[in-house]
Amino acid sequence: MMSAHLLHVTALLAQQAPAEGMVRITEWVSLSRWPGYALWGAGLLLLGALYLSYRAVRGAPRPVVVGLLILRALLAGLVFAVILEPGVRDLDTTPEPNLVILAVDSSASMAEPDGASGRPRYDGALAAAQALYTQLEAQPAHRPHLVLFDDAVRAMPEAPPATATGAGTVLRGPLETADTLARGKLGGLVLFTDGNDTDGLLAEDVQKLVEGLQGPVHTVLAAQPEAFRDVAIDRVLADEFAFVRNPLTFQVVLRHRGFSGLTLPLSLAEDGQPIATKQITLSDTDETIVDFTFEPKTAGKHIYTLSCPPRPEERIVENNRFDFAVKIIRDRIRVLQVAGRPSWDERFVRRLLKENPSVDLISFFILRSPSDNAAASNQELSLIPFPTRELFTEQLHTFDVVILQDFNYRPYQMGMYLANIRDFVTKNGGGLLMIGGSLSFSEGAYDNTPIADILPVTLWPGPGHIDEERFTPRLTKAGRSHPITQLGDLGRGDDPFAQLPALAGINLVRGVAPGGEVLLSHPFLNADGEAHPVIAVREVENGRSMAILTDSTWTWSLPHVGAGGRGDVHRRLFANALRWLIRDPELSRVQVAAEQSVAFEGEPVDIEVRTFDPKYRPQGDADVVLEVRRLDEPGAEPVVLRAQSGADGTARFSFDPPAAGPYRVNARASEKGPIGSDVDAFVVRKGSLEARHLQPRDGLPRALAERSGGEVVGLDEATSLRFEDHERRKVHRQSSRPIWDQAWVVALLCLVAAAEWWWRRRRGFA
Amino acid sequence: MKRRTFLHHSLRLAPGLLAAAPAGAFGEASQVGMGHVRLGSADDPRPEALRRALWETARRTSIDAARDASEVRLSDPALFRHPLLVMHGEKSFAPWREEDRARLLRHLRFGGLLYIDAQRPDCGFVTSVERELDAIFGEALATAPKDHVLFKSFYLLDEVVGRTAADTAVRGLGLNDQRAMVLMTRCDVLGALERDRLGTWTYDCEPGGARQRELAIRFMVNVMMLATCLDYKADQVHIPFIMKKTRR
Repeated sequence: MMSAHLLHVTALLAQQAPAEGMVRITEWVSLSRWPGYALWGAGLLLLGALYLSYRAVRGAPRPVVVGLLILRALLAGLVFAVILEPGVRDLDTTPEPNLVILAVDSSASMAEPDGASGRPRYDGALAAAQALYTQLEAQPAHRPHLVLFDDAVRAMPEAPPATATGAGTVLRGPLETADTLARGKLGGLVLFTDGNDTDGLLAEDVQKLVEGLQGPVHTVLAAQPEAFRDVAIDRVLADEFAFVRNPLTFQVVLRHRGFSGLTLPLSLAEDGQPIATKQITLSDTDETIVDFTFEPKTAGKHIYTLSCPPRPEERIVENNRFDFAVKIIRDRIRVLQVAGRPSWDERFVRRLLKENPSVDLISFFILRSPSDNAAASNQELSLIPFPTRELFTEQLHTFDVVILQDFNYRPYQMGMYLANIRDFVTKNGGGLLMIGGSLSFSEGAYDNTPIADILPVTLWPGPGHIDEERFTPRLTKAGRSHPITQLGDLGRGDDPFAQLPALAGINLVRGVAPGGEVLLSHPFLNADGEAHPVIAVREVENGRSMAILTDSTWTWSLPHVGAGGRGDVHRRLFANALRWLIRDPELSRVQVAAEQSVAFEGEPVDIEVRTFDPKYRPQGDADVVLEVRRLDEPGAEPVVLRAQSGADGTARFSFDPPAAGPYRVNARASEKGPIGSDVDAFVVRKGSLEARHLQPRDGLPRALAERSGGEVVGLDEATSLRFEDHERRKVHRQSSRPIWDQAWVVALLCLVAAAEWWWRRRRGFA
Repeated sequence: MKRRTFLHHSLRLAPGLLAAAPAGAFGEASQVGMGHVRLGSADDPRPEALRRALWETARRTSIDAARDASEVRLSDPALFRHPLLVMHGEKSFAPWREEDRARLLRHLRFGGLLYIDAQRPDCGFVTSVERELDAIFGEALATAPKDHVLFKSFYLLDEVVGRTAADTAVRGLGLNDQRAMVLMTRCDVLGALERDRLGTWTYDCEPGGARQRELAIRFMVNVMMLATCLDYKADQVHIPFIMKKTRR
């Protein structure tokens, strides 16, 4: 087997046509089997010998030297030719067509109208690809190859699909396919697409993809971007969680076409409730990025909805809205403590709140009432004005819990602000704790006020509703399982409160408000036919309220310690109360979690509900009811699912969302009585990213064309595209003939050697 | 109509009876008092001073103060019913029992405040008190800085004066905490508040006279405020107002 070597010199000697279409190519080759370095070595040896011979005769007359050198060089050349074994190779070849890949985009966005004729983009693209295919098929220099691509590349079937349904557009796919098939000799790649890549390919990254192709990448745009006018909220770049009352900033990426310079409102809603609007001006490019900052007010997983109003000229209005979920967690619980007078009860509540590292406490105590005589000028007192307006209008929303402790609002003209406190609870989801005393409840004239509407107890009109007798409260049935009255290892027996110091006095109330629950009751006083409440709670719309109808729970602190008890019962009670008032999810004995915060249409959403017993161990055999409702359709009936928790306390559900949109999940569990409830939320997006990327884009196609020498054309210009011809030929047959082993070559060699010998002897050299 | 409802409605018929009821009508148990720690069987040298301090507090502030202090001993179970304990005297006293020291330590650690008033800086009472506090806490009393919340808990004060002005500093333990555990004055503050049954001041205040007595009363009010409100006046919201007043 002869091989070609580095030293071979290829020359096209002759072309003739031994058969139709076949071209014979004859070229010089070396048939030597010596390796290349040996040939180089031989050549260098011969040159060395020539030089030495020159040194031996350089003193001779010039004609002698020249004649000898010519003869010896001729001899050396002949010797080298014999070593090189020159030959002639005949190749019978035909031209090889250059591969041209025609890639038709079959992603779902291609099912949209093209904007000009109104027919689907896919139909126009397919027709144009087929026309170009037919044209190229007739050209021997090119071989067309049709493929389909969306999120994958595949050969075009004999019967192309009738519609485009692909789940994504990955422009990288046909580029990589072309590289693989053409092996660097590509005639061209033509993308029939709307240019809507969903794979995140950036224009600056296309260089790497096209540099190995050695052929142009053309794009036939299946829809003209200029004819398509749309504004789409493409994506939101936000963290998965944020902190309550801390600024949350996220980036909104809008894609738009045909509306450059337009100013429009971008609105943000939280769980369906509008919370902010920002005016934005669309940029001159097809992408505008806007920063949106707001302060979330309440903890929990919220669904945020960004929307901008659709314009009449817009082709697609569904993408003017974007839902996303963010889990809002609180860094510290902000508590406003307002006390009507300094007292031991106030002191111990302030102390436990101040010492709680998770609490950010703002206190306001009334140190001097209008009837007190401080016997000093204001300059000699450290008193400050009670900033009622600032606290109860401007700053109220910044708190999680408001504590009204033995406080009468009337001397401070606060009547006008009580409705704000009610709204803080019912609308903002805040917590209200009213603690008893001679200025609280009916004594504070709260009956028939907005505060009375949200308290867990109903009030007597007017003052004078106090009982001073000492008593030891009783834990009610509700209190046995309620998180507020769980003292854990601090309590002993069925009713740990029975072992605490007696309480001194109680504010009397008419009864329990609708929805209110009594956790501790009076041992012998009644209200409305039931045991009189001592501690009661209530869920009021979005918020929660709690009533402690005595000002002597502080005796569960220091006096309890004096009686040999532990000092943290009082602290535990209030810590539990705060966590319940703010709906601390960790306090809930029912915890629901959707497996995904964002799911896609058509996929089931897995939801897990975990139930716990009063000691927070897994609660098996609990009846769990799951209600799933759409947040953007307040009137819609929820989907109700039921299951029973297993031994691990977990009940699992699979929910099939009927449509895209934001959903809220409400889970309730019971086992011989209610255990609790919890909420979660998730977003279901339209089938895929593809469904959001409908507008034609020519950014990437132009980048591909620029870097590969291609063009971007419309559907009717596809057949005018030009392709690379690498003039590749296919060899059908080859044969080689040596030319060095002829007799005349030997004779010539001998003749030159003899001539050199004769010339040298004649001139007197040895 | 239920019995209790009937009673309430009947009571309200008495014109103005309930409306005129004092604000502190929730019962004595809710009133702010103090436990007067007695150390021996000797007569109380300042029998009326604490009553006067409570009366002045009730008159000048919104605190619903008790009528009188309750006498307690360190061994008394009722000690823990009084978050504010007061000791005063002039003479030295015998070392306390270990269990009494432990009870006092427990009281103070779980939220109590002990105010000690000595009649003179160099009396035996001070020596005995320092001995006991050293035995309980193992640390010496520190001087309260001028900006301590005690000096601004209600009145703005610069120092403490009592019947005398011999020592105007306040010493204490736990002064850097949000509450103080122990406060001690050595200028007979309670002597300045002592009156006889006819309402005559028992002792002259020297050298400041009536103004000095007023400042002693104000200091006692501040002690009551510190006991009930802790470091409330050190909250950030108060600072600009207080600084503005103290600059003038």
